[in-house]
Amino acid sequence: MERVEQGVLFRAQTGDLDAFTAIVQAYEDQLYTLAFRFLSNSAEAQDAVQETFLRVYTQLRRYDERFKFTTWLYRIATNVCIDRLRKRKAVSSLDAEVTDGVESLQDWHERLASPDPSPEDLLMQSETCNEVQRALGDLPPLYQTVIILRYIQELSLQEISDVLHVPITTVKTRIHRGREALKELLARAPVS
Amino acid sequence: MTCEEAQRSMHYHFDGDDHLHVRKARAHAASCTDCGRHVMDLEMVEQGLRSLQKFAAPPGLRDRILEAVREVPQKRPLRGTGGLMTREQ
Repeated sequence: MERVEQGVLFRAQTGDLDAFTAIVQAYEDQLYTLAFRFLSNSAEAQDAVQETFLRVYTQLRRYDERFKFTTWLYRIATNVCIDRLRKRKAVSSLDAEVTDGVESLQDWHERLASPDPSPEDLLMQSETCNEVQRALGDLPPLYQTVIILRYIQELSLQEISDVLHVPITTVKTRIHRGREALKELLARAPVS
Repeated sequence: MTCEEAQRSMHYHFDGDDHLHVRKARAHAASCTDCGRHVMDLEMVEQGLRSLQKFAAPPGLRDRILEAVREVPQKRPLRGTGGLMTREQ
């Protein structure tokens, strides 16, 4: 997973833009996929990737090499995406209808409606994948994060624990709940 | 083992664990219709997630990023963070 050499990293830390370009090139696909799975929308995913690399660039001299570079990268990208989801939630809760007797998952489902996907978003995915993407987008961010890191980015439980700074047992619990919630959401999805 | 216990333990099976409680849960699910279906549903969830495609970053995104990066300065290393720069100097 470590695709950028230490020398490139070092040069990028001195402000060498060619070196930084190599870093962007090495991780842009992976981070765009991550952001799209979080945000279900291409334009917003692109903004999130840009914001991530901007933070990476400005903070690069503060990167602590005791951690793997990708761990640090994923931590920043995950934070950027979750921030965006929270802002979306804050905006949409202003005009959210009050519903009674709903569990938190449904709550999210109601309030966290993603912006309408563009035609290009729709083209990108087959029908089944859309269903899974929609269910993924309806998960609370805590579960969404571990599910994306585990199944989309294919990180190990240890790596996820490093990215999120939480014990492996916590990672597991969140994955279990996330899987269980996805099962419910997919069972509820209308058969099209 | 109750169905509830089996369904909880089964998640460890999906994590790749092979403890005694996981083996007991597997044995339970093999002979219990509800738990057997539960396992199949979770397998479908995993399959669905794994079938999601990996994207290539859209054309133009890299240029946009590099343009934005040109506008901002890098922050100085924090003291004691052990960054590459501080170590080399």
